[in-house]
Formats: sequence, structure tokens, C-alpha cells
Amino acid sequence: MIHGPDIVNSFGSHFLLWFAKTNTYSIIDTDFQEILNVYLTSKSQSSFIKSLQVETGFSTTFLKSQYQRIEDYLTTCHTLTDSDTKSPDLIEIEPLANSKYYQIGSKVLEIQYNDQRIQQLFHPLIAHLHINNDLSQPDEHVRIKLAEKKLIMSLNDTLTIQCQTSDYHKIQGKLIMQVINLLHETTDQDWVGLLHASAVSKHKLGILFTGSSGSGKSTLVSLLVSHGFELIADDTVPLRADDSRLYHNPGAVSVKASALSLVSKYWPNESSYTKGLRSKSKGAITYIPMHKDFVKSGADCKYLIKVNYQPNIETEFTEVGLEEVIQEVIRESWISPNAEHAHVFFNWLDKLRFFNLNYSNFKEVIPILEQLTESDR
Amino acid sequence: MKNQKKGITRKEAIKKMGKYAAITAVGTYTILNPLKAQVTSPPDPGGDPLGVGG
Repeated sequence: MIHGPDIVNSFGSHFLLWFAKTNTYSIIDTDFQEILNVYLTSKSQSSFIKSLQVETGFSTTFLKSQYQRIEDYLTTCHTLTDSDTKSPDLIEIEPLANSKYYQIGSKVLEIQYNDQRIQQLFHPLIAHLHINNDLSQPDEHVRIKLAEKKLIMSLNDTLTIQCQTSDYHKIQGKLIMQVINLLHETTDQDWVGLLHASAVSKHKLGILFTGSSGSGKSTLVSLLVSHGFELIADDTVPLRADDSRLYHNPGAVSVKASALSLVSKYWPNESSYTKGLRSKSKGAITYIPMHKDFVKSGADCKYLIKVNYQPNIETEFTEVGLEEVIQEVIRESWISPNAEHAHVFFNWLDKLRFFNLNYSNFKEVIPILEQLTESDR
Repeated sequence: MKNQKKGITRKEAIKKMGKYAAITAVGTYTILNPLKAQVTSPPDPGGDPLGVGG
């Protein structure tokens, strides 16, 4: 018999499971949970069949197929995938030509790029933190280099990641994690995850927005922040392990070409804009810094909202089950494989309410979210 | 389960079986693997921002 999940928690009509060996999550419905429970409490295939046959009268053939289905499921959940790669070797990248300094909280980060094109991939996200610094030693330094058609990043002379140029978002991710760590004086081990989402707060309550690319998360966040909400983070939101709060990511908000004319009405200071690379699906990305202040203590998240922007649709805001909104968050986020962190993640989810939001006019969304946060104060 | 022996239809049997009726629908599951490392929003699939073919 194959052993079961390491954490199980019920969320309404569904269960969320976690498998420690592979850091795999699974959502199952109550029907599947019933039969999985019978499997996990049975000593053999015959006892599994026997206990279900007594209850249901199903045929042995049918129950054998169910037994196999559960075994296949558990095997998949316990099997490591190809991407479970080993840690990179330690190497050094030599000092590079283009150097920029950034003020991250009380710390100074130096990033060296080996040419302007590489700089253009990473600098716009944190351009507003750029400082002229020829005097003091940086607290940390990062080097990002293009070598043999691959991008390589080192942090304080230690290679942290190497990837294809088409995967430069992996280096952006490592870089922004380091920026977050500098700001909050933390290490990667202090975080439960870096969630692929955007977040704002109101009345000190955090609202986390999820949704697929093009769903309008960043646009909605830009507009909310210009209407009395505080920005916590755009695109990647750190969730801290010791207090289960969402913390600031100091990166700028990325605005797609199609949303820029709307967003720029409320963020008219174009001198703060930094143009990023043009992408086929998103057009030219404009990075706009929108943080008013970095709240050191983070925000208590109460709501996870799946956003779906479509032109000319009615605004709909519906409370739903975890299973409707959590899939993208887990699939597209880094979540620590540490078992203690997994428990924190489950406890954090347990306290959230989940919603679907369909909208075309953000002005209809503002009172809904204001009312929601007001009612929970 | 006595009814089954009397030869009722499968549909009727399921209706009478209460909680285990769900087993005929066999239940559904989704397996979700988080990312192994921190990333930002992915660029265009297959896109090559630097034009180096890497």
C-alpha cells in the first residue's frame, strides 16, 4: 500500500492535500476523498475491495479499477519530476562593464550587467530605486551576464541561476526575491512563498488578486492604488513564514500597452515611467512605481480574488470555494518545500475567503472592495 | 443493499446507496506542482528577447 498525503485539510466541498517528498499539492472532491480514505485504512487490495463491496455491492472488477486509480494517483503525487534539479555549482562571474546601484530600504545593491540589452531586461522593474553611488561599498552585488546564449546570474560571487534567454523571468524572479530580502532583512528561508499575484491593502487588510496572464490584475491594482488602496506588491507577493502576512515587493507595477492610456490618467507623472521590453502578447511594458510607503509590518491577508477582466461585461463578485481560485496560485508560484512552511500555508489559506470577480469597469469594483474590507474591520 | 439483489436498475441502486453513491462518479482530483524557484510573470512562450536564439 502506498502512503497518503502529509497534510490534509478540508475547504468546504473539497480537500487540499500536500505531499512532502515532492512538494505536491492536490485538490480532491469529497467523492474522491471517501475512496482514498478507504484505501488508506485498508491493509491490502482484497480488504479494500471487501470493505467497499459490503457497503456498496459494487463488482470486484469495478473496485479493482478504483484501487488501481488510487495507486496511480498516489504514485504520481510521490514521484519527483524532471525539473527537480540539483543545486548549481559555485562559480564566479568576473566584474562586468555596466554597473548600477539601487537603494533598497537601508541597503545598497549593486547590479552589474554585461551590456545594455541585458540591463534593459532587469533595470526597468527597479529603476525608481536607482541611485548614483560612487562612494560607499554596496551591501550586496549581483552580476547578470549573457554567455554562450545563456543568461547567468551570480549573487555575491555565487552562481544562483543559469537559464535560456527566453526564460529571463527566472532571473527576474531571483533578482526580485533578493530585493525583497534586502528590504525586509530576510533570507529565502523566511518566506512561505513568492506568490504569482498582486496585492493591495485597505483598512490594514490585505486583498490578493490572482488570475491568468491578461486577466487585468496589474491594471486593477494600478487603479485601486490611485483610489485610496495601498499597494503591497504587483506580480510577485511574498508571504512570510513567522507571521503569515503579505509583505511589500518594492518592484514597480508593470502596465501593458493596452492599459496604459487608462492607467496614465490616474498616474500622470510620466517622468516616473520606465519602458521595458516589447513583448508580442503584452506590447511595450511600462513600469510605474506606485508604492507610497513600505509598511515594514506587512498586511494581514483576508481575501483571495480571482480576477477576470473582459470588455463590456457586468460586474460580478461571487464568494466561491478554494478549488475555484487556488489552482493558478499554486501552479505559478514558488512555494517553499519546507514542511513547517506548508503547515503555515494551509493555516493561512484556512483563514481566507475566496471570490471570483468579473469586471469591465473598475469604478464598480471599488465600492465592492471598500464594503468588503469595511465589514471585516 | 438488499434492493440490488432484487434486480433494480443501476440508477435506483445509486440513489439508495447514500454516501457511497458518489463512488460511481469516482470523484475528481487535481495535482498541482508549485514552481521550484521564484519567477516573475513569464514572457511570451518561445520568445527570445535578446534575439540570440538562447
